[in-house]
Formats: sequence, C-alpha cells, structure tokens
Amino acid sequence: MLKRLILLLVPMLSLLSASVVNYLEHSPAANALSGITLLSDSVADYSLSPTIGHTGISTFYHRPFNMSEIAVVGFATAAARNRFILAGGSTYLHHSDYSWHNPFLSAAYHYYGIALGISGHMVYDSVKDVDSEYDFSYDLAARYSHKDYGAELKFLRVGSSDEQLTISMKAALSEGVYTATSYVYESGGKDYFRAGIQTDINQYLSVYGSWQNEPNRFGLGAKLGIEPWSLIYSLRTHPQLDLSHAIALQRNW
Amino acid sequence: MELSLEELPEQSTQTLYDRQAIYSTALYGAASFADSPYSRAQLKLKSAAFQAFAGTKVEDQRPQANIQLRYRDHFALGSYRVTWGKGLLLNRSTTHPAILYPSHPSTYEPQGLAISLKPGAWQILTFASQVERAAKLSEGLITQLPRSKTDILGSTRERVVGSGLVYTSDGFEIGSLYYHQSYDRAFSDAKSDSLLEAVSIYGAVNSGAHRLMAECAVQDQASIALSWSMIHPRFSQEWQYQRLADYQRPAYATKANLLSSTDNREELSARIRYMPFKALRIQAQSTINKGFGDLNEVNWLARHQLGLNFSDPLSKASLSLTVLDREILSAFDDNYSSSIPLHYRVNASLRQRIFEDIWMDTAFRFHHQERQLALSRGSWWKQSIDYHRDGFGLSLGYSVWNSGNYRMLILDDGDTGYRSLGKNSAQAMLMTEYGWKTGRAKLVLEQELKQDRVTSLLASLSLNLK
Repeated sequence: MLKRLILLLVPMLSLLSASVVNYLEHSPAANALSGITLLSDSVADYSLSPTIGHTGISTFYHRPFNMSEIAVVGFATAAARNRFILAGGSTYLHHSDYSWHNPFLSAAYHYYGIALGISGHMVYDSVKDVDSEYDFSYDLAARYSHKDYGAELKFLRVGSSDEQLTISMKAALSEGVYTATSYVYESGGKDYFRAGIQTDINQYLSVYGSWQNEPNRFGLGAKLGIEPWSLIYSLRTHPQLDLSHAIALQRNW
Repeated sequence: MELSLEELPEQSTQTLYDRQAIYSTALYGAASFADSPYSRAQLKLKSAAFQAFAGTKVEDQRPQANIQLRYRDHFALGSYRVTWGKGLLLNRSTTHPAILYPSHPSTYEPQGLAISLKPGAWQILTFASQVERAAKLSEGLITQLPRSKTDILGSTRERVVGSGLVYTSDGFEIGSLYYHQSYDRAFSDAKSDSLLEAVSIYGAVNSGAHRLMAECAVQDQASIALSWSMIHPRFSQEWQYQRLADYQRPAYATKANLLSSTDNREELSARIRYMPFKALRIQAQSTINKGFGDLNEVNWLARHQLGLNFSDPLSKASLSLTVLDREILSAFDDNYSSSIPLHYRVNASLRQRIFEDIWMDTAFRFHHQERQLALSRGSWWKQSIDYHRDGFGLSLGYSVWNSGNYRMLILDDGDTGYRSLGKNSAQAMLMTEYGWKTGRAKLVLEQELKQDRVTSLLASLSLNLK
C-alpha cells in the first residue's frame, strides 16, 4: 500500500527529494552505513560530505525500496591537488513521470588529520518534463581524525528545506573494527540517531553495517576489492517498504 | 552566445584553416550519422606562391561548396572574404585590410575576384562579386536574405564591388574605400535599398601597447566605430564605441553592435583583463546599447560579464557570470513575454589532471530568466574522464540537461560550432582519436538516454603534408 502511495506521491510532490535527506543516501556505502560518512571510503559519498578524503572515480546504481519503476544512477570523481581535494558528480533519478537531478561540486582542505570542506548542490526535479523546480544549497563540513578516532560536523543542504545538522564520532572497538555514532537534526525539528560499523574481513573483503531509529532501519553492505578497483553492494531495510538495493563500481587513485 | 551565432560556423572554419596553416597539403573530412546526417570536407593545397582552398558540405542530399584560388596574399579568385576597418562595410579587420580564406561552405560570401597590391607604403584593394542568393520573397520583394544557404524558392542576384586605398607608415595607417552593392529585386522593408553605395574612411595608430582605430562609413548618414586597446603583460583593456545612424547593414559586414541588430543606436563596450599571477586571469566586460531619438526607451540595454580563469599544468578551471537584459535575446526566443527583464547565466568548468595521461573534466551551465512562467531556468552538466597518450585519446562521459522551453546553446566541436539543446534529457558519450605524424582520426559516439533516444556518430579524418 505504501509502495503504491509513494508511486502516487512521486509525480505530485517529488517526495524523493522533499521528504528527508535520507533519500539522498543513494550510494552503496551510504545505503549500508545509513549516511555515516565518517566510516565511508566511497568517492560517491562526496555528495553527503566534502571531507571524505579519498580520491577516485565511482559509478553506482540504486533501486529504492526495490521499485523497478525507479532507477537512481550516480557518478562521481575526486582528485587531489596539494592539500586540496576537488570532487564533482551527479545523481540522477528516473521515473517515467518524474526525474530528479543533483549535480554537485566540492572542495576540501586537508591538513594532517583536519579537514574543512564545502560543496555546492543544484537540485532539479521535474514532473512529466512539464512542471519543474530548481533548488540550490551548499554543505559545510569539518572533520578530525587521529589514529583510530575521529569526529565530523556537517551542515548539509544549507539554504534548502532539507537542511540537516549531523555530529558524528568514530572509534575503533578493536584493531580494524571501526564504529561510529551520529546524531542528526533536521530543520523541521525531527532528530534521530545512527550507529554504524565497518571492518575488513581480509584484504579483499570489507563489510559495513548500520542502524538508525525514526524510522527504524538497518543497512548492510560488502565491498569486494582488488586494489585499486572495488565493487560494493548494499541493502537497507525500511519498516514498511521493501529493501533498497545499491551497487557500485569504484576505482581509487 | 546567441548574440554572435552567425559568426560561429565562420569561426569553426577558421579554426580548421589555422590547424592546416603550416602544411602545404591538408585535407579534413567528416561524416555525421544522426537525425540530420551530413558530410563535410575541407582541402588546402599550397605551392610556393599559389594556394587553393576548397570546402564542401552535403546535407539532405544538398551539396554546398566554395573554392578559392589564390596567389600569395595579392589575388583571390572564387569565394573570399575581405576585411576592412571596424567592419561597418566588410568583415572586421584585426590588423591591415586583407583578403581572407573562404568561410563555411554553407555561408554566403563574396564570389568573384579580389586583388590586394602593396606598392611601397601603399595598399590597393579591389574586389568584385556576383552571387545568386536565396531570398524570402513577398510579392516579388525581398523580405529576408538568409546568411546561410537554405532551400527557399525565391532568389536574387547580388552584385558587390569595392575599391580602397590604404597608406601605411610606422605605427600609422589610413585608408578609404568605395563600396557598391545592388540586388535585382527591391526590398519590402522601406528602410532597405536594393542599391547601396557607401564610402568608408578608417585610420589606425599603433603605439607600443596601445592601438587606436576608427572607421566612419557614410551611407545616407555617417556611422562611426571607434576602439582603443591597451595590452600590457598582466593587464589589458579594450574600449569600443559604435554609433549607427541610418545604416543598412551591407551584405558581408560584421554585425556592428553586439546587443542589437537595428540602426539608429549607439553602443559602448569596455573589457579589462588582469592577471594577478601567471595562472590566474580575471576578466570583466560591460556592453551598453541605446537607441537615440526614441523617447519611449529610457534605459540602456546592457550585458555585464565577470570571468575567472585558472590554468596551470595540473588544473584548468573557469567561472563566468553574465547578466543581460532579457529584451536583447527576445529575437531568439519566441516564447518571450513581458516580464522582469533580467537574465543570468553561470558557466563553470574544471579540468584536473589525475595521472600523467588521465584528466577528469566537469562543465556546468545554468541560466535563469526572471519571468512568471515556471520553466524559466535551465541547466547543463557534463562530466568525462579523458585519457591521452602518444597521440591516442579516449574520452568517456555523460551530460544531462534540463531546459523545458528555452533553446539552450552550447559551444561544440561540431560543424557549426554549437549545438542547440531543448527538452530534458541525458546523453552518454564516447570519443576516441588517434593522431600520427601526418594525420588524425576521430570518432565520437553519442547516445541520448531519454526523449527520442537518438544515436549519433561523428567520424572525422585529417591528413596533413608539409
């Protein structure tokens, strides 16, 4: 029923962009980690934080709530220059009656464990290519990492109705097992918690897991990598809807 | 870009000739397989003193061609272009008056004979042309003379002759030109005359970093164009002023005013460039245009631009912002209706080297026009990864554009120098090229992912011999 409801709402209200920033978590790593970018090493996640700190190229496919009518594809690249990392990419959501496009450009300054970054976003959504809307916003982020610990403060989509403040902390529970918790506050007054974990099973296989409340969702993912290439697959639950699937191919440099 | 649309095919042709400049024999051929397939070829042959230039384009089984036989810079037979002064009567000149190579084969240009002789400090320039041009007719009268060769039932015979004399000394030159143009049909517009006679006087002063240039062209009334440019290593500026009185644009004259095609207007333009350091260039440009004698038009039409360019071996980035009065573009947009008249454009690009041979490219354009309808904004986004090594190049990318009801023009490497985008769509692109000592082959495959899902293929080949 809810699935039908979403399909009805999609062309009317562009729910995928207007509801919550959760729907911006399209990349497999963000899908698996519930958007906790402090644990992510995916280039595609520059759309959620300019301080990811990794360079490369990533392309992904995302199927929200296993709805075959909707396809989300994304592409991102990031390159380093001195202490700066420049990144750019876009995410495109296609439905026969609705499209949504979010290109972004970001820049971050890295100085040892400290990173400061900014991203600019343009969001375009269109119903049946007839009615459309543009929205511009920007992200600000600061990150500190030292050995097994880290912290991140993000203001996402500043200037839009999807503004979000996120505070995250990271610590290694034991060697090679990284965990993080996040507190997220949205402009409408809604807030929730997230927790995530990331660990390397061996040099080829890594796994991600996460949980968030409000709504209660779990994320799970795996990365199969033969340096510098990696393939990431993830899924994420929803209390009422089907699983969301995402898969990405990435090359780091 | 719409303001100089008619010049883009000419510029793309000039780019081809520039690439062929150092070769004695050069051939460029291209074939496009898409909705409107076409083929294009351009040939240059050069011996010690003689040169031959030929261009052809076949589209919709309709061939168009031009050819020029040339002896040094003195004689040209066939299709040619002539530059003179600030372009009030002929093509705009950047240095001395000259006979240029032919233009794009789809563009009308003088056909006949042109002579330029330089005895001592003097230059004698003479040309004569007769062209059968397509024309839109109404009751036997010319309503429109397209600059591009098109399939229109009507036609008119155009005759152009002119003769000029130039005196050049150190840093100074002055010249005078008589120009005659006639058509075998009258114009429906009472302001346009089938017989046009005009006299132009121009002068230029070069003094180190400065260049002053002025042209006065007299038809029924005098129109003038003035410019002052100053070039220093890190700073340059250019000021231009044009005042067009009762002015009928001659057949091959450069568009005198940028912001308007009508006469009885004046235009002032200023451009400054500053390089704070070697890799960074800042440019600001402002152009204003106003009709004189029209009490209903209170404000000047204006276009203002600000641009930043950064370039070093690792990165190339640019950002430009343009603000212009919407009325300036109304001639290009039939959907335009009364509204708040400002129009904004943002262009940005970033090219970053990742490895020795690999670059990542991103380009973005956004335009906004203040009007009441919903679809008043449009965007274009392109990303690609480029690989270049030992003459081999490979590029893989995509572009997405959203522009519901506005024809968005994007500069392009294609035949006309631009492409027109409408409707929301996305496109995947694969380009591969290989260059060797005497040539280059290039293949561009594009697949539209929405709307009509058009597949297009452009194959081109250049062969050059010294």
